[in-house]
Amino acid sequence: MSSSGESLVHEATSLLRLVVSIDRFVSEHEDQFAYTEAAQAFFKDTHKWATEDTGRIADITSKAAKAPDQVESRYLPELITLKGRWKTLHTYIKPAIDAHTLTLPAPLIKMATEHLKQIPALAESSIVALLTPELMYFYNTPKSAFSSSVLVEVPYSQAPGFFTNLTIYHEIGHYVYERLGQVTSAAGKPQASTNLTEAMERAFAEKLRPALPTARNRAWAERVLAAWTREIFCDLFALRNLGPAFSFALIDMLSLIGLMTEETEIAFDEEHPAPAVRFREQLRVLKSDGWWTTVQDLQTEHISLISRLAGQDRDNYFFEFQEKRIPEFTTAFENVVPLIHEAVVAITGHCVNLAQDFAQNRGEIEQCLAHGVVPSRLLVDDNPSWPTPIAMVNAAYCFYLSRLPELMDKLEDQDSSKPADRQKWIQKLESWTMKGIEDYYLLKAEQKARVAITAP
Amino acid sequence: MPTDLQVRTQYLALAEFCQRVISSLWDFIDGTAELQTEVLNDAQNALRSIKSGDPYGFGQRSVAALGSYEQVCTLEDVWRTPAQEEVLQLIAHLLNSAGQAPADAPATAKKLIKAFLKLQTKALWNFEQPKPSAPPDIGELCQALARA
Repeated sequence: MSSSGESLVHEATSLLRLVVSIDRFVSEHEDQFAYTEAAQAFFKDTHKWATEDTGRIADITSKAAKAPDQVESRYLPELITLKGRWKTLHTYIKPAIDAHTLTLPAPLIKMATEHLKQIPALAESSIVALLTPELMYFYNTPKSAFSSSVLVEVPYSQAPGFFTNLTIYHEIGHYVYERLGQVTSAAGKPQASTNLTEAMERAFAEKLRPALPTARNRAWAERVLAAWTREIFCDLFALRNLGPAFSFALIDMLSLIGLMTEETEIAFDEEHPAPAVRFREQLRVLKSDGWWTTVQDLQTEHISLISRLAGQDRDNYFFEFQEKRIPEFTTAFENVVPLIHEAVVAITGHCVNLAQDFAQNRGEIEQCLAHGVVPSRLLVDDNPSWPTPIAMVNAAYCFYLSRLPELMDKLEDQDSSKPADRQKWIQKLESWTMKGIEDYYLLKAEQKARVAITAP
Repeated sequence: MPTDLQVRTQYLALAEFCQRVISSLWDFIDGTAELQTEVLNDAQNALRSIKSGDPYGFGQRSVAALGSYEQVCTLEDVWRTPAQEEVLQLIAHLLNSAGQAPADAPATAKKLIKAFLKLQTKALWNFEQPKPSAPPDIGELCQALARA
């Protein structure tokens, strides 16, 4: 056998060993814990890919033996490229195995999945959570596609919690934005999404393109503009679905990682618009959707911070790259922003009346929480009602921000000024909220089953 | 998990794109398949947009194999402007002769394979050994914007 033939067999064997080892690792772990349906489907896909690629490796080896002149220029690179896919998959498997339902806010994942499925063209999507050692949330679906799953990384330490994890809606927004960009059928792609793309093209063409002669500079400039647009889209997508709880969670998350400082709040970077712009646009949605009137008087720093950031003079915003300010970028971006709102509204038709429902039920839900009761079912004037998950989420967050001491002061040996006591009751509050959401979906499934049984 | 995985997989997507071109050309040379014009058209369109200074627009960016900054940089590192022009000419020659099978078509296909193999090798190298993409020449960019 020629040396290139031997190299190919060596490469094929090495790849096969990788495929088999990943496949075996999944088999050994997937039955040890309970996983979300999406994670189970991801593992099932992995087994399927392992079977397919085992066959493909054999096929490549066999064809290469018959065409030695194509080994170097076709079959060897094909194996190395395929190995790249498995190396990538290797990176995802362990964090997915770690993310079993005991380590995840499963009701939140369920709720987010239900919301995602409401979007036209994304009804088949599912969310696979991955645990990451980084203290940050990431949308991390590879560009070299593996499946239709949304791969979202959650910091392992935050995974069982609830409030901070609401920011996964922003990461899901990345997936929605990306997928809508890929939809080509007129039926699946909202006009507003096309309008947004055209607005970006227009802003780029008018403000930046004429001055950028090279493909490299244009690609970079487009990437910056697209990244800012995507970030605002993700914020507004999350906000439309979750209400002000998302803004509160984002503030908590940015504070946790030290990004909420006066120095950074008006600064754009290569990937993100300035926090002041992000909260300016969030406030606009909170007002137009009717949330603001209910939460604006909440006695919490979060509200004053949103107001202060949103009120920043837009002339102060700046984009600095390599110590040079480039105002043309922020000017071009401002032309795109209104179209982002339209695109988000077009795909979140299921989010109407959330603010009204919250305003109506907030008081009762908070009363439940103040007494340590899971707010799955409310009783108003002897009439039972089932609050929506979003009403529960927002009421719980408002309660956490403004009334936690009220709950703790009723209890012996609990001091709301002591962080250790406080964090214990935040955890309980999160558990009650998640239980309420879990109950909602159980009741909904039970109602659906009952209708199916009684249907002729 | 490395946070640069999304960037790295852009290189892998580029390598997969090259592999599609290479495999289709070998099948054509072998006579096991007709010339896959769709694959070559994709390559031609991508190259043309880069050559004209306009990589894929915002709408197609997420599905393009040659639309991201990293992919454009990789391509420009491997194929300088004359090489890009040559690859375009080779593709055009093959596409124009599709269905007629002129005598020099296999030789042209082999030249293209060589070019795409070079690009694929670089893409795979960048996938394995990612380094931050060189930033644009910001001085030139600012001057150009000031002049505009």
